[in-house]
Amino acid sequence: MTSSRSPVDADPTTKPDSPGSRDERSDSTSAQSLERRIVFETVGKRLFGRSTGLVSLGRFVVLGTIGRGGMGTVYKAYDESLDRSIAIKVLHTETSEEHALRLQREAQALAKLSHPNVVHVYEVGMVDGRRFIAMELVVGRTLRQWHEGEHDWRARVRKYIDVGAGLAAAHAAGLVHRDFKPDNCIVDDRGCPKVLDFGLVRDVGSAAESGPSSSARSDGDAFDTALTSTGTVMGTRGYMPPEQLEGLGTDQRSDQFAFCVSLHEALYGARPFAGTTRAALLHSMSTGNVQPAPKGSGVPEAVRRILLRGLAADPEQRWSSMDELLAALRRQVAPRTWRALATGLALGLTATGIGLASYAQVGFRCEGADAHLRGVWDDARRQEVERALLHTRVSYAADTWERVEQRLDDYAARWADKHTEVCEATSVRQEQSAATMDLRMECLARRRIALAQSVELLVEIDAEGVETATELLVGLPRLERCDEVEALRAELAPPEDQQLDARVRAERERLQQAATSLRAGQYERAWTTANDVVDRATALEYTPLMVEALFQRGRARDERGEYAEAASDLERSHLLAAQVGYHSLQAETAAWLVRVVGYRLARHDEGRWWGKTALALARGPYAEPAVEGYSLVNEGSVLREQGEPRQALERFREALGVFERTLGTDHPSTASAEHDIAAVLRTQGELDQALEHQQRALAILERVLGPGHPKVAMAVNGVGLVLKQQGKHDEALVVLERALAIQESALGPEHPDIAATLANIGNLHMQTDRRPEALRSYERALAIKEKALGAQHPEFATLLSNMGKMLAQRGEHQAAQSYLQRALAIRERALGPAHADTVTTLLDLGVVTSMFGDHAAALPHVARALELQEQGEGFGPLDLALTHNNLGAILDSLGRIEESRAHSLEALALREQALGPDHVELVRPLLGLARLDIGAGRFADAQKRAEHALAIAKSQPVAPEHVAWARFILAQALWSEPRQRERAATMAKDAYVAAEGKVVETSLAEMRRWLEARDLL
Amino acid sequence: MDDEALLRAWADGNDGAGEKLYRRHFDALYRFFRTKAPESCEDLIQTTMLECVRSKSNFRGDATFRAFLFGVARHCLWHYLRSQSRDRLEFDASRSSVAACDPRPSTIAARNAEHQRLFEAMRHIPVELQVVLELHYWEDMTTHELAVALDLPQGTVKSRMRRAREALREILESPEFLTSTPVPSEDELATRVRGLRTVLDAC
Repeated sequence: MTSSRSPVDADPTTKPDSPGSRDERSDSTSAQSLERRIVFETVGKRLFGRSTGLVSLGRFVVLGTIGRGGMGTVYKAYDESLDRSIAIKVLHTETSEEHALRLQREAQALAKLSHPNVVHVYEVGMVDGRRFIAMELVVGRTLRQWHEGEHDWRARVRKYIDVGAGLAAAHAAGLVHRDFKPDNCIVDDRGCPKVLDFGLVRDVGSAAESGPSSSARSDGDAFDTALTSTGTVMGTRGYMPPEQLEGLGTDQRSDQFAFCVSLHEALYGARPFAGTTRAALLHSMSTGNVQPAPKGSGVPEAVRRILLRGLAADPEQRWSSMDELLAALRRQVAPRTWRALATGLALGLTATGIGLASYAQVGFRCEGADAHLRGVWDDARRQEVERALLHTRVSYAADTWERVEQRLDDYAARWADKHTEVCEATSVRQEQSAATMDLRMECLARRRIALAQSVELLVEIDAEGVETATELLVGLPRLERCDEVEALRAELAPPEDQQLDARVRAERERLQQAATSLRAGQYERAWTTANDVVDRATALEYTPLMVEALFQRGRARDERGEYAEAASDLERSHLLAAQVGYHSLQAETAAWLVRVVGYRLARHDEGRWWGKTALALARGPYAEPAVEGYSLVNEGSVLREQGEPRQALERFREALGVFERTLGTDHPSTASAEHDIAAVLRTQGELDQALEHQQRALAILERVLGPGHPKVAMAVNGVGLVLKQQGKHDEALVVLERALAIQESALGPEHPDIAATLANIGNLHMQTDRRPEALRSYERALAIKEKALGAQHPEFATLLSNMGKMLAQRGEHQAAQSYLQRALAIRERALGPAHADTVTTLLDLGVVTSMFGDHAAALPHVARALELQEQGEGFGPLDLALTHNNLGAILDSLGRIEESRAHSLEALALREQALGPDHVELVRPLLGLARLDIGAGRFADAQKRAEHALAIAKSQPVAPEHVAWARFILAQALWSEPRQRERAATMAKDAYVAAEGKVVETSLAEMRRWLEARDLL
Repeated sequence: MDDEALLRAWADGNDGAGEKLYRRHFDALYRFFRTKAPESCEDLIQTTMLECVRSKSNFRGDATFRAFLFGVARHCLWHYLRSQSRDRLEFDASRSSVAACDPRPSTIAARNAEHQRLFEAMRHIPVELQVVLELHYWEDMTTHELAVALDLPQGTVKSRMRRAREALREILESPEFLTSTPVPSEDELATRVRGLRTVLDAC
């Protein structure tokens, strides 16, 4: 670190900003502290999505911080050579040579020690003068945290017996801990306690075997801060035996003392010896002044006596070894003979020798998972659901039933397995504490409710509901969550008050109902339910419930189109979640807000900010894994709306990766991501890639929903559109016919959605010159739309207008006119004659009529259109210019040259005003005018304009027919000057030859006539 | 690019700009949170960066970006400390110290006992005053910048700094902190506090 005062960019370890060079390893030998670098990389990764560099300690790559204590910081790291995750503790202070040696010896001994109750040390090393210890990565809580949650004295003693076994094993290997306390022991997720930090943490003054030293005293000065001279901070001292406090030697019996202090604290809630200063502590210990046992602890006298012996001031008076102490404790918690309880213990329990009290708690829950599922998903329910589905007579109901049955069977089976496993983990294998079991069972109970609600919905299904039946089950909450004990613990504790707890539970069940309704597409119901819960939750004082209720209500509102209200609910939910530390919902609300605020409400910048936040949260701990994907997909949608297709594509691709990883390849969301990617690729013209993705989306949906499902039809349609864009018309037609077949079968032949497919098919037929088929498809589409919307609906007019234009393009002027006239009539009536859409149709009609050759009939349309455009709003100079041009062309065809010219001039002026003198759009009007000028003999003007057009053509890509005409016109103009005649002749001939194939036949004929008249051909 | 431009570019989607901004100010942010919220450095730095983007419209050109940044960081810290204190209503930045919210000793392991003591003492003065000292002595912020970052009238900044030094001396003279070495004079104290930055950077 530099000592310069300037804060900006003065740090020599800041890497230069080169975007490519991200994955460099920064060597830990640099001056920058390891801790600082870790924080830097971790936050950097969360904010910007990638690691800007990794920190390594020899062969270990540091991944993140686990915790920070007085002695050092613990990191999670990855051991490259052995391919495993480990923990590394890096100690703060430096060590002297002699200590390092001793440590090495101890580390070797520890490394050989492999015992389930000792954290395995792999390696001890030195780096930058700082010692690090690489050890087994244990995920769990400290012993202290554990005994805050556990209330049964027997369970505590049993746990400590295991802890003691670890200490004993180390003693047998010749090691002494010297710093045992409940903070130095970790209980992993299976409930197995492991002792940490053997002897290695004793730094200055670890007077090993014997011999007095000023160890304890100098300890204090160096570490425990100035405060401990008065000892207001308890810290390490509270567990040290008198011989250690006085700086005399320590041995295994010192560990025993510390162990008994810890166990005393665990059983009685307080340490045995009073006194906050060293002196006071020593005094209590030496006089054997142990605190009296608090009333009602339930701990037998015998156990207390065992502890007291271990707490003797004189090591000779204590138990001769940990083994003896443990043996004594074991006898106290040994199994009793099983006596039947009065209250019905469920059948199937075997006497495995657990103490009666805790067993009774456990007994009911190992009742057999199948019993729990009775009435939820069993043979009777199976029949009911099958009947209900098939009764709807929906065409794809059988396919859906197949899938529904499979999913329900699968979910129920996995649920049952997990239930049994959780139960056995505590009651049979005793690997897990009752508290952990509670958490996991709670998790499973919620999922059982979700399952029951879903089945209930299926039993009452109607024809409309079949469409969402499979997706309803796809969205069932993840069962794996119930194994993620850390995450479950991070969830907020239920209210302590029993009454409140019961009410909260009831409301939560209702919220689950709302969630189920949402998954089934029943948005009204979802809203009503969620709204009720919000109201009631306001009265109950339990914030997590409010977070959940607002979340569901917000989602329901979003689906109902009430976007502003939805945003408000979700934001409130998010803020409350942040306040109470409800991580999983904090992330999820943020993900939804990206969509509602950024996409639905079109507040793009805000949406992108939510995107960043959501992503950072989704990558943090305890968020559901798929949420990262949803954040990305939603942000992608916003970016696409903002006109940033490349960035959008990046997000979609990333999202796809996340979904494949977390949801699997057979999930609708994965299909949806593929579809989004395809859509962007299409706009970018990457049609081959777009096709691939679209086809993958289709394949997924076919597997998940069944080939006859309406959503599959939409995906098929998507594939067809890409094929059409690629010009593979025949293939596209086949594909669209398939989509049509599915829709007709699944939705009925008159469903409005079919109209779009038919229109697309019609367009395809038109492009392949199959006129009668095209018209047939169009007419059918129109009939459906008319029936669905009514003959006066503007959307119907849109369809007519689109078809009309399509027909006109292919030369079907008569049909085009007829459609456009119908569209015009509807729009005039529904939207009014001055509406932008109406005017557009008017213009289209005029243009098409004129294309047909009936200029006289076309004129009034276009003239009126111009009038309306000039009077109305929403028409810019370019729109007007186009209309002027069209009008000019028509007038020209009618022989009204001067008027025509006036309009063309106006068009040119408008365009030049809007686009500047060098714009390619000026070419057509210039040429139009030039032609008029030639006809009127204004050759100088004609020449000027032609040259202007050619000048533009030099710097911009201009349509070839225009270039041809420009040259020809120039030639025509030059011809008027006798001296230029020869040059003009050559030019004209060249232009004519070049024009072949580029201009329409009539134009070519015109040129030919002019040339022939001058004997140039 | 200057900081304001970087912030805007980042808000517009240019992650590279965001990273640059992050690198520039990371060290200062780390120092800020390390002394007062060591357990949550990562979360707080992250939140601060994101909040800067969100409230970028509040960044008026009349102050440096740094002042704005620390204004945001301060908000995040206050929020965090409030949530950590036993009684949320009790938290008052002008009265509550970091040590009051978290009685465990400082986790900064300075080798020198004097430094350790000074770090510890700083945790015991009201956190608002602690921030004044740190931002002035470690980040060299001007009175104007401090006024913006702490949302104080500029005229009160100097008096606040004086009060901070006084408070620190008082703590050092209190029985809990008294040692055989004499309490430094005001000038001495300023130098010592300033020197802590290097110590912190090496931890």
